[in-house]
Amino acid sequence: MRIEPDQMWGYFEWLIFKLGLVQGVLVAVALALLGFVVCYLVSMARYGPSEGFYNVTRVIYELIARDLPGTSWRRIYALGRLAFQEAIRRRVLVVMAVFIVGILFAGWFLDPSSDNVARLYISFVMTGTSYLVLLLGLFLSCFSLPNDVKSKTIQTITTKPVRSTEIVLGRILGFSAVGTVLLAGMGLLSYQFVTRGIRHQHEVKDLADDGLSGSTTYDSKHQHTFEVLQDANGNWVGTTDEQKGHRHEVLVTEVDGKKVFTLGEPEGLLSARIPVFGKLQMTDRAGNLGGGLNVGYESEYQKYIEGNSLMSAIWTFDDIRPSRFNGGDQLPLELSLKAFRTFKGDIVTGVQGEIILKNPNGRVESERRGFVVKEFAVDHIEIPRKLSGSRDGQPTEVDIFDDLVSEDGQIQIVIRCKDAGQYFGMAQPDVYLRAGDSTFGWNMFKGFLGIWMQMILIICLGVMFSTFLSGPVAMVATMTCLLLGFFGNLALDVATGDNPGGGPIESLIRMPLQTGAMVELDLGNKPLESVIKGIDQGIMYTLVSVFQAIPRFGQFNTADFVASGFNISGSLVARHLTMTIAYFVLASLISYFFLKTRELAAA
Amino acid sequence: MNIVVLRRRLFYICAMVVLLVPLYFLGSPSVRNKDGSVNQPGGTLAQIRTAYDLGQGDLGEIDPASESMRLATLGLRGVAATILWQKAEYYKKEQFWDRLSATLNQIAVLQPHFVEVWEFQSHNLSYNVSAEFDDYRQRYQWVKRGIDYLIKGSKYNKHRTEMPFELGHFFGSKMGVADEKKQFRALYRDDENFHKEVQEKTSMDLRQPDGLGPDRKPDNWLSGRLWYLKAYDMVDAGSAPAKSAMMFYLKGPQWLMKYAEAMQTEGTLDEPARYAWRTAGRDWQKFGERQIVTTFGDTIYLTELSRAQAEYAKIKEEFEAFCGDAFTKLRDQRIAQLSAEELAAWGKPEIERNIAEMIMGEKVDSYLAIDPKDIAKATPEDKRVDALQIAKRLETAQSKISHIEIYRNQINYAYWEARCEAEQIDEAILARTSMYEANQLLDKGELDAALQKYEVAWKAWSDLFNKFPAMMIDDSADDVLASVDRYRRLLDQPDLPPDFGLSGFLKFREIYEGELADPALMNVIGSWPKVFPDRNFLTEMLRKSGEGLEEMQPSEASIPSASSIEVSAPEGGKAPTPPAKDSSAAASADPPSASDATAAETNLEPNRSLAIETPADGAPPSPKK
Repeated sequence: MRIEPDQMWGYFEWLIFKLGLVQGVLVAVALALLGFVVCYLVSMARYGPSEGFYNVTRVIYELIARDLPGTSWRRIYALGRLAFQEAIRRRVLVVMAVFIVGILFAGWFLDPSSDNVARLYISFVMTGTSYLVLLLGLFLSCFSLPNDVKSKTIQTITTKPVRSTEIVLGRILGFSAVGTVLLAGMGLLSYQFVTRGIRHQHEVKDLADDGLSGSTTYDSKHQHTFEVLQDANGNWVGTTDEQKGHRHEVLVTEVDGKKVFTLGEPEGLLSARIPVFGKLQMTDRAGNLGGGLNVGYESEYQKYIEGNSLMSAIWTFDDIRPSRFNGGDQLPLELSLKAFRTFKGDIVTGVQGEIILKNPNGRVESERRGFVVKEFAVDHIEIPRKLSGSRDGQPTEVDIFDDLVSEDGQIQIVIRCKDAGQYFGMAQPDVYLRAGDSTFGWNMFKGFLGIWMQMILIICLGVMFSTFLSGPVAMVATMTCLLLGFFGNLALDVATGDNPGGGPIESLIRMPLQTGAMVELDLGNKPLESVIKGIDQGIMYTLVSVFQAIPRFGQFNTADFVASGFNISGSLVARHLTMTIAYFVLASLISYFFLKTRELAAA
Repeated sequence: MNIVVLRRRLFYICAMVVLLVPLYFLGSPSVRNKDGSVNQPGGTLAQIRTAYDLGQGDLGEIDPASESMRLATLGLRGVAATILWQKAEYYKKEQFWDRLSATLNQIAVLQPHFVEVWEFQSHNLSYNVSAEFDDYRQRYQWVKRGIDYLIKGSKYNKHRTEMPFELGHFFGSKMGVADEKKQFRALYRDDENFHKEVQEKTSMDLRQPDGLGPDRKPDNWLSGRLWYLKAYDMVDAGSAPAKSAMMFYLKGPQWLMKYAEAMQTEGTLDEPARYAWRTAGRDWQKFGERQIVTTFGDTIYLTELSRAQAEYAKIKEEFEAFCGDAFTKLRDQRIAQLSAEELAAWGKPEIERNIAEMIMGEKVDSYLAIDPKDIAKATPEDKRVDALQIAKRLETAQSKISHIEIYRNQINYAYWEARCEAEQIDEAILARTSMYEANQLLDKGELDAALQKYEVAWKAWSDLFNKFPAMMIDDSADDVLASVDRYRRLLDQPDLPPDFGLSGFLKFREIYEGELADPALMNVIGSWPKVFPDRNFLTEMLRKSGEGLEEMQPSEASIPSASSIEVSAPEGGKAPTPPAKDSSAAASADPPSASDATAAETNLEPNRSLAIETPADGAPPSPKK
């Protein structure tokens, strides 16, 4: 999976150092100012400058002085319950039925021979859930208020002593409750589907002459070999080799003096590794700090270092202490590197590399540990705490935590490629230290929490738009936000020129002319071309501005973490929760102002 | 309810019932027996579907997942497939292989009868994605993934020969030609689970006797051939061939030869190899006897070259006799215009000519190749009509020879025919066995024994090269050169001993690689043993090349190199193209002789119609006095 650099940030790192808080405040202030100006202009047009100003400030005053302090949780609960019942009446449970049908027939479309079947299953259920729940939130939130206004049932509420804040919050919370219940059901079903779907059993097929190793039967499109050994207590213990990302425990029992082998459930498919990421630096061919190489792939996610040269990749890890690594008897390192060969060389042996652990002070380093690259899979290496190394150039035994970790808790891990003419490719998250595991169920819950937050955002936006737009228009507006939230980067790429082919007008001209995106637009009229490009720039930058203000739904999608077996860090969840609350407050306030100024009785 | 509304609804219901009656007769489905044969033909639409094989069931297996997916797209199947295709490209670019594979399955489910999708994407998986992995075992898994994909496609498209044809190619070529062919072939041989899976999915038994190698395990080349045989059976049952007839039927025997070659490379050199070559030779012969409809519109057999030549000679004789003076007169007129030097060159047997004479001789041949129609027109008026008719027959016979030669040259038919024969003789077995054993002994450090074996090998190779000189320019020669190099190092001498058994061969290779080999001799290297059974190719070549080299010294620049000489190179005397290491080597198309002939003709005066007077049969043209 691709872990973006921002997903490795800590919560406060994001909030303070990466200006998350500042950006949020800026968006809030900008929207507040914009809202104030627009409202004042509208009010001024209707009532004149003084009265218009008075009206706007009056509404703000009423919010602060009356409606917020006077908001009753009991009335919100009553309105929320109403919204909940309304949603049930509108047969939202159909969504659950659709999900169940989807799960039932999923086996038809999923490939059980996949190299990582768990990833496929998890991606499927989480993506399916996400689509269904977002659509549910969209339809529920956009049509409720406009329908009430249209059928005048809103008057039965507004004539009661109910505040606008309560109407807005009641709707949002009521719909959220419906969505939450459905999502919880889907989550439980998904968990069952995944855990049952990947379950498979092997039996022992062949046993070697020594009776201590053998191979298993071929099930679920794979087969294992296994080996058993006698431990210190005299018990026979064993495990299979790793195939398709998992192993099985081999249980040995003795029946009538004969060993009977039984293989356990697959292990390692549903994991939630807790990674400790470091910061990556690379050295160039002269050994100086610099960037890695591009070996010709379109994707520039990974950079490459050349084998048998001074090029190396250096990861610096912070806060390294034994307690983070289960007491610190070993330092678990996981790699997911790519090899690139400029010539075939030795086909049987993979490209070889070496790992060196270094104290950032430069005085102590470990011996070079060789490894053979394992591509598109996680290579787990356990480095013992005590190992050979050198201090100030003198050979000695070194202790990882005492000698190689600096006083401020840092350690450097250097990776080099040994084979001349061959290359290693890597990105920052491709090498990490594994600080234990979380439980898969909990990780999946956090993944579903991400979907839940997306649903809340959609409901907030839907309710917000429905306070001043008709149902279908509100839906289109919310849908636009959703699409921009998911695919807004495209607008950004077009606006910045990263995506060739020009903006909407230029693209519209290119299509009938059948002009390729990489060819410069040539209409034979330079001023006209400039005008088109100018308008396009205007449109795209407007879109980008809107894009900056709306939530980026894609960020909340953490299904990849669950599917790839990475624990979703608490800081990432906290960050998403903070953003959700911020947008909830913002959307509620905007909804309040629109509802407050709307003449519902006249509708 | 309003009475008007009620009436209207009743009317609609009645209309629907009435319309359902003809619809029932038109659309009622056919009923089939378990074996797929039609029991009841059903309505008109069902009958038309059956007649034109348009029903889903006629195209291939009906998959509920596919059908439901297609329905779920609400008619936007094409759009969905395009979006998925783009996603697949993205996943490939970003190297998300699992997702790529899943997306390809979805595309296939959406458009299961779009054969090109199966072909393209299976190639993508087996060739492009597999190459991205460093570990050959992972690469092998992805090769199988592509094969699996094709197998799935074959179930949806049971009448399309493209599927088994491609499967034959993947099994053979991908596993047998890749750099890691040794590892792939070994993995495949022992992959019992895969063999079983294929049988479960397709009923293709890869473990049948025809598919087993010398170790009694499935061999990838033979498995590939089994798929080709399946494709041939499908054609016999009425399906269209996936390629042109020649390229389609070429593969079966070609894969047998590849199997024999692979077996030899891996050290099985004795009787099993001889048997493999014999089987391959028989299959090659059968392939040659298969009727091929050419792109020129006529029908040929690759093995009928000599018969066609005899037929031509007979008609020509009849024509010359019929035209009598007219022919002699025209030819004498042209001969009279030739210089003494040209006449001398022309009078020499082809293989005796040096390079300059060869060019000259070719020009003269072309100049004297008088269009039979011109001759017919020159006959007395009372004989002209009959003469024109014979001329027409002569032209047809001549075209036939030309077409056969073109098709034979495209696939090096003569070379492979000779190769199959050569590999079966005792000298070949002895040469290969001795050389292999010598190399093995050298690896073990048994130097004296290795030396002895090498000596035996060189003698045997020398005999083999004398019998089948074409082997001096194919893969076998490369193997010999590599072993000679090891032998040279073993001797620890800068030069090989003067009595070294393959010194002639080494000299020839020097000349050949320097593109200085005599083109006239190279033209007949493939058919040498048949055409010149009593003459030694190497002796002739070294003698002539020596002469050629001497002649070249004064004005080297003015004489084109062997490779740049454009001469009419009819099949019988055509130099075989050394088979490339790629599987398609045997099918590599040399420029057909017709185009060479045209090239030669264009050197002559314009607007002169010059038919090929003497179709080459590999024999030197008899001097025309």
